[in-house]
Formats: sequence, C-alpha cells, structure tokens
Amino acid sequence: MKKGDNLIFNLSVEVISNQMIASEVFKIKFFSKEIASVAKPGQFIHLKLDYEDILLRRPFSFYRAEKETFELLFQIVGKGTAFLSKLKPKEKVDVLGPLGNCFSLPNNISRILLVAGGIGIAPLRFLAEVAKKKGIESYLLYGTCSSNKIVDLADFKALTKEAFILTEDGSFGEKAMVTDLLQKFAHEVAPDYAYACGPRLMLKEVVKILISLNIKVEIALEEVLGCGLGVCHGCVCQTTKGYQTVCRDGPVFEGKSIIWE
Amino acid sequence: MEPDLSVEISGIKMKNPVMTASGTFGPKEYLPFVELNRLGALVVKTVTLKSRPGNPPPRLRETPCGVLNSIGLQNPGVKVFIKEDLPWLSQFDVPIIVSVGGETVEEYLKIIEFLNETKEISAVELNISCPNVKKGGIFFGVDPDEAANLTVKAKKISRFPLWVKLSPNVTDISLIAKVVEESGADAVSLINTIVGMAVDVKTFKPYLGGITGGLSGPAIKPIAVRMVWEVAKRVKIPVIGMGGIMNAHDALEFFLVGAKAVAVGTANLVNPKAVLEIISGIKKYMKEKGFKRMGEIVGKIII
Repeated sequence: MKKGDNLIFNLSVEVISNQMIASEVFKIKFFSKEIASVAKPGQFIHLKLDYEDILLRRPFSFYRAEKETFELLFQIVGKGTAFLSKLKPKEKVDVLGPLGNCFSLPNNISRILLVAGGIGIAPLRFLAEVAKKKGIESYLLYGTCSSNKIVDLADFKALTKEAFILTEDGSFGEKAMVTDLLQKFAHEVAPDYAYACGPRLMLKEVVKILISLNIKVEIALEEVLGCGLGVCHGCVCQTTKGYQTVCRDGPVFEGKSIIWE
Repeated sequence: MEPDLSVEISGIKMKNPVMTASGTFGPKEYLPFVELNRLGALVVKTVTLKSRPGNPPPRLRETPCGVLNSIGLQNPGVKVFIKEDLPWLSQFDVPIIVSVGGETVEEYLKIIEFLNETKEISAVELNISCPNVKKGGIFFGVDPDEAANLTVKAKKISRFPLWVKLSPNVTDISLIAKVVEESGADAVSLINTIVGMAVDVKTFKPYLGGITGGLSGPAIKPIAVRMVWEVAKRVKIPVIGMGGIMNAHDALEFFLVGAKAVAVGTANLVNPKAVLEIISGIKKYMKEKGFKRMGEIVGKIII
C-alpha cells in the first residue's frame, strides 16, 4: 500500500444524487473538484452528519471519483447511515478528506484478483476502474448474503475480465461464501496481486488462503474512527509493527502484517 | 475597538483563553486547518517516561452526545518527544504545555527532570486523572494525600509553572483542587474524562478492549461546568475549564462560572477547525455585548 496524497480538504460539498441501488444499499454522489481529482482507491472520506446526537464523523471509502464528482456506497446500519440515505440533491455535507493510504498497484503487474464481501465492494470498484485504465486485468470474486444486496453488476462486468458472483443463500450465482471458492478461483486466475475488502472474519480467512497460495494481498479495513487524521489513536489494529492507526497508517494494510484477534 | 482576549495563567501570557486539550490535537496533522500561532496555548499529548503501546482495541465507542475512549496513553516517551517533536513545535509563537503521566511519583519526577533541560516549553501539566491506565494516572487524582504528595515533589523540582489536571471521578473535586493549590500548584485544569462503560448486548462483551473508558463530549459538559464552578469558588489559582466544549457558547459558560481559560478536546476530533471557530466566536460575542477584556466575563455568573 502507498501513502495517500497529502492534500486533505475540509469542505462543505453538495449532493448530486442519492439512490438506493440494492436492498438498504445506497450510492451517493457529491460534487467536489478538489477531492475528486486527488482521491485514490482505498482512501476514504470522513462525513460530518449533523443529525440528533451523532458526534463523531463517519468514514466511507471512495466507490468512484472522477473529474468533479465522487461517489460513496453505504448500507443502512444505524442512525448515521439512515440519515445519510435521506439526503437529497443540493443538500450539503461537511467532508474531510481524502484520508488514509491507498492500494498499491505496482507497475509490473498485469492481472489482479479482487475479493469483495458485501459492502466491501466499494473500494474495489474504484480500484478496478483505475486498474483498467492502466491496462491491468481484474478478476472479481464478489459475495453477498443474498441477490438483493448485489450492486452495479453490469458495471462490474464491464470493468473486469471476469466477475464471479455468489450469494450465501444461493439466490444468485453459486450458493457459497467467497472463502469457499477463493482457493479454486485464485488458483485459476493466478493473479500477480490480490486486494480484498469485507467483514473481518472473511478478510482473516482470505489472507490465510492467499498466503498459502503465495499470492500477495492487500486488505482495506473498516473501523470506528475518531479524528481520521492519525491523532487520537482510537482506531488502531494490531500489526507486526505494533498498533497502527486504521485511519492514517491504513485503511489498506498488507494482509500478512495484520495480527488477527 | 477589538476586544482583548489575552489572559495570563501562571505567568504565561496567552493571546486568547482557548487551548487544545491533551491527546486530542496533533499540531502537525492539524496544520492544514489551524494556524498554530492563533491558539492560546497548545497542550501536547501526555508523555510518559518510556514509550507506551496503549490499550488493546477497540478503543472508541460513541455514546449519545459523547465518546468513550480507552486509548491508554499511547506515546513514544519523553525522550522521543524532546528530540523529535519539541524542536518542530518551538518554531511557533504559542505556549507549549507538556502533559506528564506516570505510574509512580518517581516516574513523574524523572519526566520533569528531562523537561527541565529544555527551553521550549511554558508549563508542565500533571495528568493525575487518566482513567485508562492500570497503574498511576487517576490513582494520584482521586486521593487527596497522593495528589498533595506528588504536587509538592513536582513543584519542588519543576523549572516551569505546574498545572494539575484533575479527575471528575471523585466525591468532592474542590477538595482535591484546594489540596493541590496548598501543595504548590500554579493552576488547575478540569475535568478529565468520566469513567464509563458500554456493553454489546449481541455479544455480551464490553465495547472497549480496556472494558471501561473515559467519557468525553457534550454529554459531560454540564458536569464539567458544575465542577469548574465549585473549584473556582474555592481556589485562588487560575482554573482552566474543559469538558464537552464544542462551540463559543459552551466556552462562555465555563468563563462565567470562573474558568480563566478553557481547553477544547473532543470537538477537535469532529471539526479540525473547532479551536479557531471558538476563538472567533468568543471575540464576536464580546464585541456584540461590548466587553473589552476577559476579566469582564470570567466568574461573572449572577446567582
């Protein structure tokens, strides 16, 4: 993973669109030339939600960023995301970012494997798009709990060389978890590099499987954040280098560097 | 005419009465948002004698209008602070207050001895109120005898004015304040966080790796205002008020009950420009009300 850009903005940005694209999953688009032009895959934006007793900002990784706009993907999990889902075009939100480091995409690679669980698809979509522009082929393994949670399928098919979709309940594609099929898929694809995002338990298993296949993997972690700037040390995870902040040292970490609980 | 926001605390002249609370403001990280020269003072994150890795995660849990934290004084230690952070900080025209934490009296004293060798700092703040460390910290802040003993010894050796940061986790905070004043403290700052806990009913586990944590944010502000009021009535040394200050109006409440200066903590995590907005807000309020000096509002509550 690379250090992110040093340019960090604290701006009030306007909502362009906000739509439900899967069950309780929303895609929100904001206008900001400043942020869109420097955001990188894996980085996130910290949103201040002025609603009831919510205090801390909420982090969301970039789903897409180009020219003057950036998009985020979110699932309603609590009060903050419920509020976010009700924002309408032209309303403004105080944002801080881009924050954190980004996925590395080394120069000498030609094919990459993307492993996504649920809403963890967000940073990987952005990565797939950047990879495609660089002429790197992406292979996606994407699992959700059910078909009504799958987002932007056509878009992913266009961005990747192959997109393998599965659901836990079998309502779309194979009935399986990504970790069930990863070994086989990774073996067939034989990628130069792999990137994963999803629930912690999935990531732990993904890292284990890919390390056993000798495939380098970077993962993007999700965590409750305080400042987002690496100051409060509230979001640390245990790594081979000791406690590291998810907001500043991460959110992207080498899979092998994480010491799982 | 512009109102004069300057205050003097233990001989330290400050441009305005707003400083950053320890552990919530990174001068380097916040530089894109805050011109440091505009701060009243900068209180750096607590330094300990040796480096501390901090507590196991999760370390944060948001609760209604508040944040529970269990950071555990993660810091690189006083020697690294003096060598790497202090020279950089000294380029700014802002008083540097160094918060000091220890497990034993000897540790506190050793850190002060190291700091005595430096030229860049303006005051030492004894953190005797951190609720998130197993040894030391709050132990010295909840027992009047321990607080007195440490303050006397620290005052004796410190080359710098000595501030003492008090814990709200006591029956009578004004008693502790009085005791540290009599022991030589040049100022008291209060409150540190209030010990709290939150439990996940899905997993039956506490949300924090450290089990309990310190509560901060607007949720604790009324408690902090009450405590500052009680302490300001009882001591003659300056009182620095903090606890849930998010805006200028919050800060003004503290001034009215007797705080000579205030510190902003949790607000920095939410809004990196919070301190500057609070300073401008105070100035605007004074202009509107026709006040010329801080002395016209400090302790002027009408009861």
